[in-house]
Amino acid sequence: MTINETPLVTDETNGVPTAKLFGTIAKMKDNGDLAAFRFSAKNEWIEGTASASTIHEWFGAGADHLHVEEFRFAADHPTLGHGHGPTPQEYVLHALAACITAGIATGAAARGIELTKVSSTATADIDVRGVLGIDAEVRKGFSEVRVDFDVQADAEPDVIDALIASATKYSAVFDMLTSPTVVQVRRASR
Amino acid sequence: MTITENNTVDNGVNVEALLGAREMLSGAPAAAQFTFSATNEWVNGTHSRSTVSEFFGLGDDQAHRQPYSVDTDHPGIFASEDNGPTPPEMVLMGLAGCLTAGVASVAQNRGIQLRSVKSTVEGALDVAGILGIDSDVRNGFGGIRVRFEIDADATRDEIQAVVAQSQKRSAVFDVVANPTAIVVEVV
Amino acid sequence: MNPTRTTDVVVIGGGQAGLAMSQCLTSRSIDHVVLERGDTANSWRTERWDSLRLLTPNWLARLPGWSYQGDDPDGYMSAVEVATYLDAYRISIGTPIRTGVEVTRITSSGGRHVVETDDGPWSARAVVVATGACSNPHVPSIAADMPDHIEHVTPIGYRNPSQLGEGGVLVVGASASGLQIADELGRSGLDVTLAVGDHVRLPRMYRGMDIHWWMDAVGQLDERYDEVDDLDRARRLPSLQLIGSPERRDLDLTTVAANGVALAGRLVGRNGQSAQFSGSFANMCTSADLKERRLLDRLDEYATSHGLDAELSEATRPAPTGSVPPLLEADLRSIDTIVWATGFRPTYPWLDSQLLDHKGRLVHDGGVLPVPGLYALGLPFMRRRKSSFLDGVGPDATELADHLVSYLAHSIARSHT
Repeated sequence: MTINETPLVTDETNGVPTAKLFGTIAKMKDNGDLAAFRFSAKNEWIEGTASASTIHEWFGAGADHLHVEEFRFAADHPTLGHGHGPTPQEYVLHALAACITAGIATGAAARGIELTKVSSTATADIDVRGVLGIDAEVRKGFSEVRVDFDVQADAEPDVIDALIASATKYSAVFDMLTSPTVVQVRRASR
Repeated sequence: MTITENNTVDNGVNVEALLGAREMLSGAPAAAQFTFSATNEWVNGTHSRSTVSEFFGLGDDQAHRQPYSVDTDHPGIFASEDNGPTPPEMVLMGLAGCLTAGVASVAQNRGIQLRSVKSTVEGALDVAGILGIDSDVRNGFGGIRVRFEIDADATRDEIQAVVAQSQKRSAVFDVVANPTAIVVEVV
Repeated sequence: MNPTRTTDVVVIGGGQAGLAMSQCLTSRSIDHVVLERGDTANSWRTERWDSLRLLTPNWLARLPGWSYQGDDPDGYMSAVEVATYLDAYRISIGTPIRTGVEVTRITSSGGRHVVETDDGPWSARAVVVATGACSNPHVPSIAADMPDHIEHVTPIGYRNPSQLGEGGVLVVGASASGLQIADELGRSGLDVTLAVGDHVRLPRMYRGMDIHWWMDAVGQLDERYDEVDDLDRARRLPSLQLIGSPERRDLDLTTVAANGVALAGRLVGRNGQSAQFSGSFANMCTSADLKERRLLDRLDEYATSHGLDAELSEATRPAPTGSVPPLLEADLRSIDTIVWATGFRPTYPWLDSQLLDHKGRLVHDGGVLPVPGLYALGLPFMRRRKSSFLDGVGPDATELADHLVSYLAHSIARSHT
């Protein structure tokens, strides 16, 4: 997938058009139904532990939508896989870092704070004896996730700390990982 | 775990290596401690890019065959530029990839030949939570539904059992379905 | 049952809010009655645990025309002492109070409000709902998912550790109540787990002065409801992690953990035999630590700009909440009691549901309800940050009494034209 390397030129803070965002929020306050969104990914197995997902359709604000393009990502496993892509867990780490980052950018924009740089590293520990079925008392997922942020902005350190704490608190991905999320898996009916 | 004698089943999963790993790690728990990471860089607005290349496991630093780069963003309705899928969609993708990898491994173990495995993962998100409109609404997905369409040399029950077992052995399923501790710090 | 009695104003609730309003109405010569379902200061007598003391020092128990005259102004009254204090207030005002009267319904029409009670109806031109912010503990729906063997307790029903058995206790909520109860139970030797969500921490003393002296001085508690950014959020803030103790000790997660209480994240679910707690604990603590730092910075700025630095001791900042990994789950088989310190949500079954929003909260603008002649008093951040505190009902009652008097005058004028 080719990425446009040039950052977009906008005259909003941090590239977030806050007026438009607040307009969307106002509409949703008036009509709660508009806030019901549904995201999805379609996945297809390739071989071994490799599969590819496409992300295109989504529903929200009362209507069906399409992303501007069909995003496609492959995942695999190292050592035992065929090298088609990062592991699914690494996508989750990316999702977490990216979600909080988007929140930092939006939160900073709402407070009129200019960001120069936001870098982070999300790291997670996992004892693979869980997924390999070696020890039933070992959980299958991460025992702990750490995200370390390096933020440069025209603001005091305490203000930046508060931005990050707030972006974390309101992050969708942070919530779905820190709190149980119901996952139902079944066969599609023919 | 019993292995079928049917050597013609090939889902591309190197079962011998998998078994070898299990054997080795049973006796060496320290080698089972893996650490994965993603390094993220903000681009603009809600667009950021992560790179995944190194990880730690089997007692040593490791690297993917090549670095992988992934972008995420928000769609236009959130006043964004749609340069990539949203982070929540990434989580759905991680879940699908993990469960599918599990289906392939479990099927291989059970001597079931897979022909195709497709899934659709859907997550319901009431954005009144993240937008700060209603504090009683959670910020993450209210629920996630995964629907598998599997064409394989097996009965319906056998396939369902494979899918059930893959959930029990899925790292991402566990991380999403159960609470996971997250610590965010500033360097 | 009495036949309908008539007055100008009915005040519902005989606690500090109702009494403060009564004093304001009396001093404005407004005919009124105070209806109280129990005894004066009922909740202070019957709905507080044995060791409870005010969070605020006694000198901050200022009411209209009344203040603490005892010999321990910097101390913290016990619940029984507060009830006695309010009783003395009632007598000094000569409050026209009817005790043991329960309001069952209020209907309004044509400028008159009929307040039905189990003692007969009252007809009034105005009504003040002063039933308080803490009448109904809010127990989240997750309680229904817990196993049958578990005993459920709220701060209103809790009295002391000997009331609970020997088994493990899960205290849900790290507010003042949650922390005080968890601390007391932990020190009594019980196995206690505390589930921690959003919380606000502050030191008891800062640079030699009580934290409430500071907040009163900088005007923090006088912040008005129309001056804050997110009023909804401000009204839902959990109570400050403080305790009123003769030793003036701090009460925070670190100190309760040192007293043997196990810390867990927010209670988020049940999975078989396990209670599940959120992995967001670190974020909750970071947020609380940052809020505390911001407030203490504000206090330091105040001290400097008012030339107080010389008299005050050096600023020593509380240590950030440690990073001992919190529990993500607990075995419900070893828990016998859950104490739900999860806040309060007053209910108003005797009010027209049109006066309430979709979450059952009273709709009002600084205590003025949309129906002319209806008022509220004593709700969290109703007009000021301190609206639901002992020291806050006075200024609110004064302003609402003025509004009410003006309303009565205009409605008389209208009925004569």
